[in-house]
Amino acid sequence: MDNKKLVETVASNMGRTTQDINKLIEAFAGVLRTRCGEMDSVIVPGFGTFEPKKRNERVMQHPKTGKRMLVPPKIVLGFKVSNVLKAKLK
Amino acid sequence: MNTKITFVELVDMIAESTSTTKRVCELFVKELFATVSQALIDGEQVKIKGIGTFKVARMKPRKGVDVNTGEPIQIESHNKLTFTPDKSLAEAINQPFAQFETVVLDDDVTDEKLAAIDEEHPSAIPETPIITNDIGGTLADEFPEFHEPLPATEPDEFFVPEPIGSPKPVQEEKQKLEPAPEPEPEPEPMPAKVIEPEPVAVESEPVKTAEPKPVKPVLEEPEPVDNFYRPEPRNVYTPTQEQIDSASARSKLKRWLWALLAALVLGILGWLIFGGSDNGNKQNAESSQEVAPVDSDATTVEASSVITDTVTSKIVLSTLSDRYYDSPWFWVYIYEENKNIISDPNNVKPGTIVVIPPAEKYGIDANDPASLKKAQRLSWEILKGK
Repeated sequence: MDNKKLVETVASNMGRTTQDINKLIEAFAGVLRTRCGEMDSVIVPGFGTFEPKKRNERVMQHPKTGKRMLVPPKIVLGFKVSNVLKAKLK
Repeated sequence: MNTKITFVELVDMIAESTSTTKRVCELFVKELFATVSQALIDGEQVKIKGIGTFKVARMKPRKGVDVNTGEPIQIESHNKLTFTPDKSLAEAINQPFAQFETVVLDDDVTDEKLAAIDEEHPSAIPETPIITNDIGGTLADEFPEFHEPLPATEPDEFFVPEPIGSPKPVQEEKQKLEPAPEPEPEPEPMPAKVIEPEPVAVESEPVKTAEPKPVKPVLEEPEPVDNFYRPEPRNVYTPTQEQIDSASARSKLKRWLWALLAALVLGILGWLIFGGSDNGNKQNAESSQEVAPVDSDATTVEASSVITDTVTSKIVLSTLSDRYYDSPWFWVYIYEENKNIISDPNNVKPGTIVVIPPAEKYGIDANDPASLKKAQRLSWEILKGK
Protein backbone atom coordinates (compact mmCIF):
# COMPACT_ATOMS: atom_id res chain seq x y z
CA MET A 1 0.00 0.00 0.00
CA ASP A 2 1.61 3.22 -1.06
CA ASN A 3 1.14 6.63 0.42
CA LYS A 4 -1.56 7.69 -2.03
CA LYS A 5 -3.74 4.68 -1.44
CA LEU A 6 -3.30 4.94 2.30
CA VAL A 7 -4.36 8.58 2.32
CA GLU A 8 -7.39 7.80 0.20
CA THR A 9 -8.45 4.93 2.44
CA VAL A 10 -8.10 6.99 5.61
CA ALA A 11 -9.87 9.95 3.98
CA SER A 12 -12.86 7.89 2.91
CA ASN A 13 -13.08 6.16 6.29
CA MET A 14 -13.08 9.49 8.08
CA GLY A 15 -15.20 11.32 5.55
CA ARG A 16 -12.60 13.99 4.95
CA THR A 17 -10.63 15.23 2.00
CA THR A 18 -7.22 13.81 1.12
CA GLN A 19 -5.71 17.27 1.59
CA ASP A 20 -6.84 17.24 5.21
CA ILE A 21 -5.34 13.83 5.75
CA ASN A 22 -2.10 14.84 4.07
CA LYS A 23 -1.91 17.83 6.37
CA LEU A 24 -2.49 15.65 9.42
CA ILE A 25 0.15 13.15 8.32
CA GLU A 26 2.59 15.98 7.81
CA ALA A 27 1.78 17.24 11.31
CA PHE A 28 2.37 13.78 12.75
CA ALA A 29 5.71 13.56 10.96
CA GLY A 30 6.51 16.98 12.37
CA VAL A 31 5.85 15.77 15.89
CA LEU A 32 8.12 12.77 15.30
CA ARG A 33 10.81 15.04 13.91
CA THR A 34 10.85 17.49 16.77
CA ARG A 35 10.19 15.16 19.67
CA CYS A 36 12.31 12.22 18.56
CA GLY A 37 15.00 14.76 17.68
CA GLU A 38 14.96 15.57 21.39
CA MET A 39 15.37 11.89 22.25
CA ASP A 40 11.77 11.49 23.36
CA SER A 41 9.84 8.44 22.25
CA VAL A 42 6.36 8.66 20.80
CA ILE A 43 3.87 5.97 21.72
CA VAL A 44 1.01 4.97 19.45
CA PRO A 45 -1.22 2.63 21.44
CA GLY A 46 -1.98 -0.65 19.73
CA PHE A 47 0.67 -0.04 17.11
CA GLY A 48 4.07 0.60 18.58
CA THR A 49 6.62 3.07 19.83
CA PHE A 50 8.90 5.32 17.82
CA GLU A 51 12.08 5.70 19.79
CA PRO A 52 15.34 7.32 18.81
CA LYS A 53 18.51 5.47 19.68
CA LYS A 54 22.07 6.60 19.71
CA ARG A 55 24.51 4.43 17.86
CA ASN A 56 28.09 4.71 19.00
CA GLU A 57 31.05 5.51 16.88
CA ARG A 58 32.85 2.37 15.76
CA VAL A 59 35.54 1.03 13.53
CA MET A 60 34.32 -1.31 10.82
CA GLN A 61 36.03 -3.16 8.06
CA HIS A 62 34.81 -2.88 4.52
CA PRO A 63 33.82 -6.42 3.57
CA LYS A 64 35.15 -6.12 0.03
CA THR A 65 38.16 -3.86 0.16
CA GLY A 66 39.17 -4.80 3.70
CA LYS A 67 39.75 -1.16 4.51
CA ARG A 68 39.14 -0.03 8.04
CA MET A 69 36.64 2.72 8.36
CA LEU A 70 35.64 4.91 11.22
CA VAL A 71 31.88 5.13 11.31
CA PRO A 72 30.66 8.23 13.12
CA PRO A 73 28.07 8.12 15.90
CA LYS A 74 24.49 8.70 14.90
CA ILE A 75 20.96 8.76 16.18
CA VAL A 76 18.53 6.45 14.43
CA LEU A 77 14.79 6.29 14.77
CA GLY A 78 13.82 2.85 15.93
CA PHE A 79 10.41 1.33 16.06
CA LYS A 80 9.19 -1.20 18.57
CA VAL A 81 6.03 -3.10 17.70
CA SER A 82 3.35 -3.21 20.33
CA ASN A 83 2.50 -6.63 21.65
CA VAL A 84 -1.05 -6.35 20.32
CA LEU A 85 0.07 -5.89 16.73
CA LYS A 86 2.86 -8.43 17.15
CA ALA A 87 0.35 -11.07 18.16
CA LYS A 88 -1.91 -10.17 15.24
CA LEU A 89 0.95 -10.44 12.77
CA LYS A 90 2.07 -13.80 14.00
CA MET B 1 14.53 14.41 27.04
CA ASN B 2 14.08 10.68 27.18
CA THR B 3 10.45 11.05 28.10
CA LYS B 4 7.65 9.06 26.61
CA ILE B 5 4.96 10.93 24.76
CA THR B 6 1.59 9.40 25.34
CA PHE B 7 -1.29 9.22 22.95
CA VAL B 8 -3.03 12.20 24.54
CA GLU B 9 0.03 14.39 24.27
CA LEU B 10 0.59 13.28 20.71
CA VAL B 11 -2.98 14.21 19.77
CA ASP B 12 -2.58 17.58 21.49
CA MET B 13 0.53 18.35 19.52
CA ILE B 14 -0.99 17.40 16.20
CA ALA B 15 -4.11 19.43 16.96
CA GLU B 16 -2.02 22.43 17.83
CA SER B 17 0.09 22.37 14.69
CA THR B 18 -2.84 21.79 12.32
CA SER B 19 -5.31 23.97 14.24
CA THR B 20 -7.98 21.29 14.12
CA THR B 21 -9.94 19.86 17.00
CA LYS B 22 -8.45 17.22 19.24
CA ARG B 23 -11.31 14.95 18.44
CA VAL B 24 -10.51 14.96 14.74
CA CYS B 25 -6.84 14.35 15.44
CA GLU B 26 -7.57 11.52 17.80
CA LEU B 27 -9.79 9.88 15.23
CA PHE B 28 -7.19 10.44 12.57
CA VAL B 29 -4.32 8.82 14.47
CA LYS B 30 -6.49 5.83 15.37
CA GLU B 31 -7.79 5.50 11.83
CA LEU B 32 -4.37 5.91 10.25
CA PHE B 33 -2.74 3.20 12.29
CA ALA B 34 -5.75 0.90 12.11
CA THR B 35 -5.49 1.13 8.32
CA VAL B 36 -1.74 0.55 8.41
CA SER B 37 -2.14 -2.39 10.78
CA GLN B 38 -4.79 -3.95 8.59
CA ALA B 39 -2.66 -3.58 5.50
CA LEU B 40 0.29 -5.11 7.33
CA ILE B 41 -1.81 -8.02 8.53
CA ASP B 42 -2.83 -8.53 4.93
CA GLY B 43 0.83 -8.91 4.15
CA GLU B 44 1.24 -5.56 2.47
CA GLN B 45 4.06 -3.11 2.83
CA VAL B 46 2.96 0.38 3.82
CA LYS B 47 4.72 3.58 3.01
CA ILE B 48 3.76 6.82 4.73
CA LYS B 49 5.17 9.99 3.27
CA GLY B 50 7.43 11.85 5.64
CA ILE B 51 7.46 9.03 8.16
CA GLY B 52 8.76 5.86 6.59
CA THR B 53 8.05 2.36 5.46
CA PHE B 54 6.55 -0.47 7.48
CA LYS B 55 7.30 -3.93 6.22
CA VAL B 56 6.54 -7.41 7.46
CA ALA B 57 9.34 -9.90 7.12
CA ARG B 58 9.05 -13.61 7.61
CA MET B 59 11.70 -14.90 9.97
CA LYS B 60 12.91 -18.43 9.47
CA PRO B 61 12.98 -20.85 12.38
CA ARG B 62 16.32 -20.79 14.12
CA LYS B 63 18.07 -22.00 17.20
CA GLY B 64 18.60 -19.78 20.15
CA VAL B 65 19.16 -19.89 23.87
CA ASP B 66 16.76 -19.11 26.64
CA VAL B 67 18.08 -15.88 28.07
CA ASN B 68 17.14 -16.90 31.60
CA THR B 69 18.20 -20.54 31.75
CA GLY B 70 20.77 -20.61 28.97
CA GLU B 71 19.14 -23.72 27.52
CA PRO B 72 19.11 -24.07 23.78
CA ILE B 73 15.63 -23.54 22.38
CA GLN B 74 14.07 -23.53 18.98
CA ILE B 75 12.73 -20.18 17.83
CA GLU B 76 9.85 -20.81 15.48
CA SER B 77 9.30 -18.93 12.29
CA HIS B 78 7.36 -15.74 12.82
CA ASN B 79 6.54 -12.44 11.23
CA LYS B 80 8.53 -9.43 12.16
CA LEU B 81 7.56 -5.85 11.56
CA THR B 82 10.38 -3.64 10.43
CA PHE B 83 10.33 0.10 10.11
CA THR B 84 12.61 2.17 7.92
CA PRO B 85 12.34 5.88 8.60
CA ASP B 86 11.88 8.24 5.68
CA LYS B 87 15.11 9.89 4.62
CA SER B 88 13.98 13.36 5.64
CA LEU B 89 12.86 12.12 9.06
CA ALA B 90 16.06 10.14 9.62
CA GLU B 91 18.15 13.17 8.74
CA ALA B 92 16.14 15.42 11.00
CA ILE B 93 16.66 13.06 13.90
CA ASN B 94 20.35 12.56 13.23
CA GLN B 95 20.79 16.30 12.97
CA PRO B 96 23.16 16.62 15.96
CA PHE B 97 25.60 14.23 14.26
CA ALA B 98 24.96 15.36 10.72
CA GLN B 99 28.41 16.89 10.29
CA PHE B 100 30.19 13.53 10.54
CA GLU B 101 31.23 11.36 7.69
CA THR B 102 32.65 7.90 7.57
CA VAL B 103 36.39 8.08 7.15
CA VAL B 104 38.68 5.46 5.68
CA LEU B 105 41.62 4.76 7.90
CA ASP B 106 44.95 3.94 6.34
CA ASP B 107 45.76 0.37 7.18
CA ASP B 108 49.48 0.91 6.78
CA VAL B 109 49.57 3.06 9.89
CA THR B 110 52.54 2.21 12.06
CA ASP B 111 53.99 3.65 15.23
CA GLU B 112 57.02 4.93 13.33
CA LYS B 113 54.80 6.96 11.07
CA LEU B 114 53.01 8.44 14.03
CA ALA B 115 56.34 9.35 15.57
CA ALA B 116 57.42 10.97 12.32
CA ILE B 117 54.34 13.14 12.36
CA ASP B 118 55.09 14.15 15.92
CA GLU B 119 58.56 15.28 14.93
CA GLU B 120 57.27 17.29 12.05
CA HIS B 121 55.05 19.16 14.43
CA PRO B 122 56.98 19.94 17.56
CA SER B 123 54.07 22.05 18.71
CA ALA B 124 52.16 18.84 19.14
CA ILE B 125 53.22 18.02 22.63
CA PRO B 126 53.24 14.37 23.61
CA GLU B 127 50.04 13.60 25.38
CA THR B 128 50.87 11.49 28.36
CA PRO B 129 53.42 13.58 30.26
CA ILE B 130 51.29 16.69 29.88
CA ILE B 131 48.26 14.99 31.21
CA THR B 132 49.96 13.66 34.29
CA ASN B 133 51.41 17.07 35.04
CA ASP B 134 48.19 18.90 34.62
CA ILE B 135 45.61 16.63 36.05
CA GLY B 136 47.11 14.55 38.77
CA GLY B 137 50.68 15.91 38.83
CA THR B 138 51.94 14.60 42.13
CA LEU B 139 53.22 17.54 44.05
CA ALA B 140 56.26 15.61 45.13
CA ASP B 141 57.38 15.79 41.53
CA GLU B 142 56.82 19.50 41.43
CA PHE B 143 58.69 20.28 44.57
CA PRO B 144 62.26 19.92 43.39
CA GLU B 145 61.48 22.28 40.57
CA PHE B 146 60.16 24.91 42.89
CA HIS B 147 62.99 24.67 45.34
CA GLU B 148 65.86 24.54 42.96
CA PRO B 149 65.71 28.16 41.87
CA LEU B 150 65.36 29.25 45.47
CA PRO B 151 69.00 29.30 46.58
CA ALA B 152 70.03 30.97 43.34
CA THR B 153 67.65 33.88 43.59
CA GLU B 154 67.41 34.36 47.29
CA PRO B 155 70.82 35.85 48.03
CA ASP B 156 69.98 38.83 45.80
CA GLU B 157 66.72 39.05 47.57
CA PHE B 158 67.92 39.66 51.05
CA PHE B 159 71.27 41.19 50.35
CA VAL B 160 69.73 43.92 48.35
CA PRO B 161 66.90 44.93 50.61
CA GLU B 162 69.02 44.82 53.77
CA PRO B 163 70.91 48.04 53.27
CA ILE B 164 67.78 49.74 52.07
CA GLY B 165 66.05 48.61 55.16
CA SER B 166 62.85 47.47 53.62
CA PRO B 167 62.63 44.16 55.50
CA LYS B 168 63.14 45.94 58.80
CA PRO B 169 59.57 47.18 59.17
CA VAL B 170 58.48 43.71 58.43
CA GLN B 171 60.59 42.33 61.16
CA GLU B 172 59.35 44.94 63.55
CA GLU B 173 55.84 44.08 62.66
CA LYS B 174 56.61 40.52 63.27
CA GLN B 175 57.94 41.29 66.68
CA LYS B 176 54.89 43.27 67.50
CA LEU B 177 52.59 40.64 66.30
CA GLU B 178 54.39 37.66 67.58
CA PRO B 179 57.00 37.28 70.27
CA ALA B 180 57.71 33.73 69.21
CA PRO B 181 59.91 34.43 66.17
CA GLU B 182 62.50 36.05 68.41
CA PRO B 183 63.91 32.94 69.99
CA GLU B 184 63.40 30.89 66.92
CA PRO B 185 66.61 31.69 65.02
CA GLU B 186 68.88 31.65 68.10
CA PRO B 187 68.76 28.02 69.00
CA GLU B 188 70.16 25.40 66.68
CA PRO B 189 68.11 24.68 63.59
CA MET B 190 66.82 21.49 65.14
CA PRO B 191 64.66 23.13 67.81
CA ALA B 192 63.69 25.75 65.27
CA LYS B 193 62.00 23.07 63.32
CA VAL B 194 60.03 22.07 66.33
CA ILE B 195 58.96 25.54 67.32
CA GLU B 196 58.20 26.88 63.91
CA PRO B 197 55.12 25.04 62.66
CA GLU B 198 52.75 26.63 65.14
CA PRO B 199 53.79 30.27 64.74
CA VAL B 200 53.89 29.83 60.99
CA ALA B 201 50.28 28.92 60.87
CA VAL B 202 49.24 32.03 62.75
CA GLU B 203 51.81 34.40 61.46
CA SER B 204 52.12 33.91 57.78
CA GLU B 205 48.85 35.56 56.98
CA PRO B 206 49.72 39.01 58.32
CA VAL B 207 53.13 38.69 56.74
CA LYS B 208 51.53 38.06 53.40
CA THR B 209 49.85 41.41 53.57
CA ALA B 210 52.89 43.12 55.05
CA GLU B 211 55.37 42.25 52.31
CA PRO B 212 53.60 41.23 49.19
CA LYS B 213 56.04 42.98 46.90
CA PRO B 214 59.31 41.19 47.57
CA VAL B 215 57.60 37.83 47.55
CA LYS B 216 55.77 37.97 44.27
CA PRO B 217 58.62 38.88 41.93
CA VAL B 218 60.77 36.12 43.38
CA LEU B 219 58.16 33.58 42.66
CA GLU B 220 57.47 34.73 39.18
CA GLU B 221 61.00 35.33 38.05
CA PRO B 222 62.59 31.93 38.54
CA GLU B 223 60.26 30.22 36.11
CA PRO B 224 56.82 30.71 34.68
CA VAL B 225 55.07 28.34 37.02
CA ASP B 226 51.90 26.59 36.04
CA ASN B 227 48.84 28.70 36.75
CA PHE B 228 47.34 26.09 38.95
CA TYR B 229 50.19 25.94 41.35
CA ARG B 230 50.77 29.60 41.86
CA PRO B 231 48.58 29.96 44.90
CA GLU B 232 50.29 27.14 46.72
CA PRO B 233 53.88 28.23 46.32
CA ARG B 234 52.95 31.57 47.83
CA ASN B 235 51.76 29.91 50.92
CA VAL B 236 54.88 27.83 51.01
CA TYR B 237 57.38 30.56 50.58
CA THR B 238 56.09 33.23 52.86
CA PRO B 239 57.23 31.42 55.97
CA THR B 240 60.44 30.48 54.20
CA GLN B 241 61.24 34.05 53.36
CA GLU B 242 60.62 35.47 56.74
CA GLN B 243 62.66 32.81 58.42
CA ILE B 244 65.56 33.40 56.12
CA ASP B 245 65.26 37.13 56.57
CA SER B 246 65.78 36.87 60.28
CA ALA B 247 68.62 34.46 59.76
CA SER B 248 70.38 36.78 57.35
CA ALA B 249 70.26 39.53 59.92
CA ARG B 250 72.85 37.55 61.80
CA SER B 251 74.63 36.83 58.52
CA LYS B 252 76.21 33.57 59.44
CA LEU B 253 76.65 31.41 56.47
CA LYS B 254 76.64 28.13 58.29
CA ARG B 255 73.52 28.91 60.23
CA TRP B 256 72.16 30.23 57.06
CA LEU B 257 72.49 26.98 55.23
CA TRP B 258 70.95 25.17 58.13
CA ALA B 259 68.12 27.62 58.20
CA LEU B 260 67.61 27.12 54.51
CA LEU B 261 67.38 23.41 55.04
CA ALA B 262 64.99 23.92 57.90
CA ALA B 263 63.05 26.33 55.76
CA LEU B 264 62.67 23.73 53.09
CA VAL B 265 61.34 21.27 55.61
CA LEU B 266 59.13 23.94 57.11
CA GLY B 267 57.98 24.98 53.70
CA ILE B 268 56.80 21.46 53.02
CA LEU B 269 55.25 21.21 56.46
CA GLY B 270 53.63 24.61 56.07
CA TRP B 271 52.33 23.66 52.70
CA LEU B 272 50.90 20.47 54.07
CA ILE B 273 49.16 22.38 56.83
CA PHE B 274 47.96 25.08 54.51
CA GLY B 275 47.06 22.75 51.73
CA GLY B 276 44.69 21.02 54.08
CA SER B 277 43.30 24.11 55.78
CA ASP B 278 43.07 26.29 52.71
CA ASN B 279 39.56 25.20 51.88
CA GLY B 280 38.50 25.74 55.43
CA ASN B 281 40.00 29.20 55.39
CA LYS B 282 37.86 30.20 52.47
CA GLN B 283 34.80 29.73 54.54
CA ASN B 284 36.23 31.37 57.63
CA ALA B 285 35.11 34.96 57.72
CA GLU B 286 37.90 36.02 60.05
CA SER B 287 40.76 35.05 57.81
CA SER B 288 38.96 35.92 54.62
CA GLN B 289 40.54 39.37 54.43
CA GLU B 290 44.05 38.03 54.29
CA VAL B 291 43.27 35.06 52.14
CA ALA B 292 40.97 36.89 49.78
CA PRO B 293 43.58 38.41 47.46
CA VAL B 294 45.28 35.08 46.96
CA ASP B 295 42.04 33.25 46.37
CA SER B 296 40.63 35.74 43.94
CA ASP B 297 43.90 35.62 42.06
CA ALA B 298 43.63 31.91 41.74
CA THR B 299 40.06 31.93 40.53
CA THR B 300 40.60 34.63 37.96
CA VAL B 301 43.63 32.84 36.61
CA GLU B 302 41.70 29.63 36.32
CA ALA B 303 38.64 31.24 34.82
CA SER B 304 40.59 33.01 32.13
CA SER B 305 42.71 30.06 31.06
CA VAL B 306 40.37 27.09 31.45
CA ILE B 307 37.37 26.72 29.20
CA THR B 308 34.75 24.26 30.28
CA ASP B 309 31.56 23.07 28.70
CA THR B 310 28.77 20.70 29.55
CA VAL B 311 27.99 17.47 27.81
CA THR B 312 24.33 16.79 27.19
CA SER B 313 22.50 14.05 25.38
CA LYS B 314 22.78 16.01 22.15
CA ILE B 315 26.09 17.71 22.73
CA VAL B 316 28.81 15.08 22.91
CA LEU B 317 32.59 15.29 22.80
CA SER B 318 32.65 15.47 19.02
CA THR B 319 30.09 18.25 18.99
CA LEU B 320 32.21 20.21 21.43
CA SER B 321 35.29 19.53 19.35
CA ASP B 322 33.51 20.83 16.29
CA ARG B 323 32.46 23.90 18.21
CA TYR B 324 35.88 24.78 19.61
CA TYR B 325 38.32 23.41 17.05
CA ASP B 326 36.23 23.43 13.86
CA SER B 327 36.53 19.71 13.40
CA PRO B 328 34.77 16.87 15.21
CA TRP B 329 37.89 14.74 15.11
CA PHE B 330 39.63 16.52 17.92
CA TRP B 331 37.28 15.06 20.49
CA VAL B 332 40.12 12.71 21.35
CA TYR B 333 41.99 15.55 23.01
CA ILE B 334 39.00 16.63 25.03
CA TYR B 335 38.78 13.03 26.12
CA GLU B 336 42.48 12.92 26.97
CA GLU B 337 42.10 16.09 28.99
CA ASN B 338 39.17 14.70 30.94
CA LYS B 339 40.19 11.06 31.16
CA ASN B 340 39.77 11.11 34.91
CA ILE B 341 36.05 11.92 34.73
CA ILE B 342 35.14 10.17 31.49
CA SER B 343 35.29 6.41 31.51
CA ASP B 344 33.79 5.76 28.10
CA PRO B 345 34.10 8.50 25.46
CA ASN B 346 31.12 7.08 23.64
CA ASN B 347 28.97 7.31 26.69
CA VAL B 348 29.59 10.50 28.54
CA LYS B 349 27.00 11.18 31.19
CA PRO B 350 24.82 14.14 30.25
CA GLY B 351 25.64 17.03 32.56
CA THR B 352 29.32 16.20 32.77
CA ILE B 353 31.39 19.37 32.76
CA VAL B 354 34.50 18.86 30.70
CA VAL B 355 37.61 20.99 30.36
CA ILE B 356 38.33 22.15 26.83
CA PRO B 357 42.10 22.22 26.43
CA PRO B 358 43.65 25.14 24.54
CA ALA B 359 44.24 24.24 20.90
CA GLU B 360 47.99 24.85 21.11
CA LYS B 361 48.40 22.28 23.82
CA TYR B 362 47.90 19.33 21.48
CA GLY B 363 48.77 21.10 18.27
CA ILE B 364 45.16 21.16 17.20
CA ASP B 365 44.68 22.72 13.80
CA ALA B 366 41.65 21.89 11.71
CA ASN B 367 43.37 23.20 8.58
CA ASP B 368 46.40 21.00 9.02
CA PRO B 369 45.84 17.57 7.47
CA ALA B 370 48.64 16.03 9.54
CA SER B 371 47.05 17.23 12.76
CA LEU B 372 43.69 15.90 11.64
CA LYS B 373 45.15 12.57 10.68
CA LYS B 374 46.87 12.26 14.00
CA ALA B 375 43.61 12.87 15.81
CA GLN B 376 41.89 10.29 13.66
CA ARG B 377 44.51 7.72 14.40
CA LEU B 378 44.36 8.50 18.06
CA SER B 379 40.60 8.17 18.05
CA TRP B 380 40.97 4.84 16.33
CA GLU B 381 43.43 3.71 18.96
CA ILE B 382 41.07 4.76 21.72
CA LEU B 383 38.10 3.03 20.20
CA LYS B 384 40.11 -0.09 19.49
CA GLY B 385 41.07 -0.26 23.15
CA LYS B 386 37.43 -0.32 24.21
